[in-house]
Amino acid sequence: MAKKVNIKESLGKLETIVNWFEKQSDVDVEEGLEKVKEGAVLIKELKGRLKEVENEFQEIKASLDPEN
Amino acid sequence: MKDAQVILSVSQFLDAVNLALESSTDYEIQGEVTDFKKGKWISFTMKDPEDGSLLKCVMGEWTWRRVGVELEDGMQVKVTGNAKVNKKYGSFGMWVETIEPLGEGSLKKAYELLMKKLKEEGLFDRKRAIPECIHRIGVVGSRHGVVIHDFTKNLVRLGYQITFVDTRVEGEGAVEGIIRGVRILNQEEHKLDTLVIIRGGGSLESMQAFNNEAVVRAIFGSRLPVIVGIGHDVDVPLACLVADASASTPTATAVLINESWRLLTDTLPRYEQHLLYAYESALRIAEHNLEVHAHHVANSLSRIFTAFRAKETAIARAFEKLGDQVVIAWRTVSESAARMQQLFLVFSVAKQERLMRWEQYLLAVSPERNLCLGYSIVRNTKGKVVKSIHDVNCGDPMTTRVADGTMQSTITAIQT
Repeated sequence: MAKKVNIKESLGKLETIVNWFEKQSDVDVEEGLEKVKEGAVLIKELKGRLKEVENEFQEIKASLDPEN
Repeated sequence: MKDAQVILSVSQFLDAVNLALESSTDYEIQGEVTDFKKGKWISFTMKDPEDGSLLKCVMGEWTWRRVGVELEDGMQVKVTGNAKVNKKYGSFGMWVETIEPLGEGSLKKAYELLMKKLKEEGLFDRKRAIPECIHRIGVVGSRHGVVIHDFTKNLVRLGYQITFVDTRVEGEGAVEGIIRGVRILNQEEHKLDTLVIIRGGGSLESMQAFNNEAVVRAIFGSRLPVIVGIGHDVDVPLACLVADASASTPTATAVLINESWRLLTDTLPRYEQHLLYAYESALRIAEHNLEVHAHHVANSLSRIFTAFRAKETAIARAFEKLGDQVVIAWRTVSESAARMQQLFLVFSVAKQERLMRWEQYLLAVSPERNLCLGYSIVRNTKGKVVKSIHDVNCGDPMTTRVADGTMQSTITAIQT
């Protein structure tokens, strides 16, 4: 679950950065560069989460159920 | 004829009969439901359609709930149970354990009755959101067949963690197995994001476990959001209706879970593109501004230089003019000087002539000349020129000047 919060948080941060650019009528190039750097880190992080990772499969025996 | 008859009490006899009837649990009995009643006990009479034979059936509330099938008079059903004689009333009947509707019509009827009931209760109205970016999935289904394979094969490789509980999905034990699976996977320890119940397609008859009230209520009671993926034709299994989301095949269920990542797979490239575009355009604007400013500066400088050159020319022209004036002035001065010199010469000559005339005149009237001619000048003691006898007294010394010097004398006499 913690990972999921990170994904949402990171996406939220990225959205804030993208919106920042849209709100500026005149982008300060220096400040913009800082934002792009920050955004690039987030994009890298999130892309890492989309990287191909093998799925894990585990079967639980019904006998593990205490009521059974 | 037996000699020794065993005499039993009624109770003992009925116990013996009931013991003999225990094998009745081995049978499945089919017939038509009549006189269906729901009270403290649930009862109905099964009628043989051929000869009208009757079998009283009864069950308690708890069994009724577990059975999970809605009944109506006229439905064809198959029941199992334990037939016995009720010792209190002396009546014979079947304590029902399971009921299965038989034939399309009865199945459909049971399905519709239960659907109506659960719909009225609002069980199909609650839909919880399927979590975004699902990571841990609990799956209830059968390990046999292609269903679980189809499901896992179609999940993209995003590091899903699948926790699987195997159960029968049809026939005996299916209802209990599914309910148990839902209960196990809802345990906190598995830390699951969502629950998936899957099975392949089948007839309404084979789908009874998923049209079972107990199963439907177990799904409704799940702490985790539930996705039900069951292949079906016309009648949507009630398990699908109660689920938070449903898909028509196990493959479609996997796709649905993959789509929970859409937030990331769709949004991320868009944000990435947006960000780069925004910065690129910011750079372009900055570049453009720079060009405009540079142009502006160049223009301003050019204006300054032009103005400077104009001033320079003006100054040069002014100097030139001044030079001309100097030349003119110089010429004027030179001419004036020459003229003055000329005038001076003219004046000088005239003056010289006049001087010479005056000199000659002065020479003519000079006392020196008269002295040379023999005249002399006498002065008294006071230095005054003596012009009259009254200017002197007898005995006064006097000075006489002649042409070449002076002489001292004394007046000895005065005469008129």
